[in-house]
Amino acid sequence: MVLLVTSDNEQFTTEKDIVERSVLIKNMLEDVGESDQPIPLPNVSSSVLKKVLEYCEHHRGEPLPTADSEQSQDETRKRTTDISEWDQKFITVDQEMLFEIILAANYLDIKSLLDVGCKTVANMIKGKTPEEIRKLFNIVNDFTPEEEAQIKKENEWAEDR
Amino acid sequence: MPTRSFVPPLSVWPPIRPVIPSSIRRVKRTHINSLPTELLTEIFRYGKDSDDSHALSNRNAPLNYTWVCKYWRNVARGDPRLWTMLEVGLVRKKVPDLVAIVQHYAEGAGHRSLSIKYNFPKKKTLNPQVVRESLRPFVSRIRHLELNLAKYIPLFDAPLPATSVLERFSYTSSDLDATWSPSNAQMADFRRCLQFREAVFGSKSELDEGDIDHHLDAMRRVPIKFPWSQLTSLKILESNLNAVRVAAILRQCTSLVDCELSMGHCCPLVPESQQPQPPTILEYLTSLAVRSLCRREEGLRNGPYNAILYDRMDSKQCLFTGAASAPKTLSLFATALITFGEHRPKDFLINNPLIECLTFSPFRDYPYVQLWNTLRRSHGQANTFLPNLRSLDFSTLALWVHACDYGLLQSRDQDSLPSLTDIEAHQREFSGRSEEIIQALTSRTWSDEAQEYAQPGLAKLEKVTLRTWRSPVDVDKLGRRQQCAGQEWILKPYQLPPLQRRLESCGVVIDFPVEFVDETMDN
Repeated sequence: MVLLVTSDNEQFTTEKDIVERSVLIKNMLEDVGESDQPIPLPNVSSSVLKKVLEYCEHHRGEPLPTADSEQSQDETRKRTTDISEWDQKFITVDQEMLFEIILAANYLDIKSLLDVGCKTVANMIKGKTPEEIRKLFNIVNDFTPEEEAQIKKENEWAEDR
Repeated sequence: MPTRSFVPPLSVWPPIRPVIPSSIRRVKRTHINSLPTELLTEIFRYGKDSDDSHALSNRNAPLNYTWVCKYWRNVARGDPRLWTMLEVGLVRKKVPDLVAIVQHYAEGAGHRSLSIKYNFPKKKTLNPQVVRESLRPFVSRIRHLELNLAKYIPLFDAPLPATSVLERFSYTSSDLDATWSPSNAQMADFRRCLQFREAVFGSKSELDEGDIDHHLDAMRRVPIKFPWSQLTSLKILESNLNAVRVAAILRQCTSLVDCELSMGHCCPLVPESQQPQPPTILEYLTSLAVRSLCRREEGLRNGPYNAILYDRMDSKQCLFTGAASAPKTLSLFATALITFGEHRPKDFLINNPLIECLTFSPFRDYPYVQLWNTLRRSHGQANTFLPNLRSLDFSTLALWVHACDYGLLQSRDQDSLPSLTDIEAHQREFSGRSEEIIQALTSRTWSDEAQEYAQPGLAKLEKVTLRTWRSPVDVDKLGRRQQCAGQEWILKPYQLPPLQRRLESCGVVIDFPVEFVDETMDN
């Protein structure tokens, strides 16, 4: 069993094969060896870690992506944004939790979870105008009118819809 | 507020951190713009990949990212991977400024290779000069080039250099006149491109019936020069190349793994005087799909089957004949089947003993009699016919007979049927010859009862699909005559379940799907 301590000082005890879906923790465990020492996760809150562990438990035993498979991806070919049914349900959370999960997956180095998060955001953005995207994510349009005019001029060949 | 008279170009703007109003920060602790650049980049990449509309608009990636805010703009323009794939079609029903677009994307992509697609299949006024000018500056960086234009045009003034990264080239056009005309002889020369592997070319003919004869006697040639021996994938789609020319091309494609031939309406006849050539050995070929799109009355001696039969081409694992999927139109499909039926497929199969997977769709059922009998062989004789066969997918077309109002079967086209008397005798459209089928399948399963057929080197069947294609119109009309809506292979319904059980107990996956053909374009 492995003991994890979150940024808000909550402790989670979990099985090694679950938590080793995180490359960060796997490497830590390999470096430390057999030890009862808790592993601090200062960048992950308890509510987020709970979700992350739920994901890891569901996907335990599945093969981890290899560095080779990532490097061999052809940039001129498209990657799928399909998400499995379970993952879709899992990631149906509010925006704040979604971005927290993405940040945690990045920090803990859980590639598959990071992909699910990024694909979800990408699907939210898909087919939306800049104004719709701003509204969706509460982003302020910080272009000056002159800058906007210049962008528009640069992209005269594109269509406003 | 005073307006500025000078606006610096965007490229010199300083990088700007995300601007999040304090009001938002108080409510939402984690905002999308608090994601580090590399994560936002990853999201953008997925967004670009999932964008299947390919329009150049403010709703489509990556352009819509660059107009949201400065942070997004900097991240999007700072990631070259977002700009490597470009597909251009009409914008506001006009051809957009191709030179500016390609330059915008190529600059965004840095030094990376590009995938460019121009999709203007009906724009006959497209300026060839503009197409060439848009591609010329980046010719050494284009990895995939796909053109779907109304006309065939010369593309490159000189052969592409050996440093070219071009791997895949696809060119289709609806302009049959210009397709292979000698005046376009220097359309493109890819022979020095060391990385070139995949070629797709052909015409999407929109000719009506009256135009066909005009083209039948024209011997045309391919004005694109490919490094044939390097190709691993070749698709000749709806082209008007004749079978002799295709055979000559295939003979040079010694590295082919994947090949699709679908010949168009205007395949000239194979000259009778042409002498047979030595067999072409394509030792890496694993997939061959052959479709003929000639009309029925012209298909008897034309089409791609001549190319493969003429050359006695060896294929290592798979041979797909007939339609690769359920046919869209009856007449086109029927032609393909007639064509192959006329050429005695058994001879071809005997010459290709390495075939493991056979998909076969003759128009009439009589070739099946020969095939089933040859598969089965008599007891005690060595079975040398397709000894590696593991999977077969046979189709029959049960379209030509339908039930009329008074409940009898009636042929729409009596000449197309083997014998109307036979059909009336067993109330079926197709003489399935159940006994031969059952015996042939049993003999290839090595079940206990078929041990006498087992022999060293003879593969065991693993998957059998016996498909029936029907007209949905007929099914609607049938109502009371349900037997005509089902499969056509095993004539006595009570024989079907035991056969399936027996084969499945031997590890054979067996299926009798019934599919429906859209005949709406037949008339």
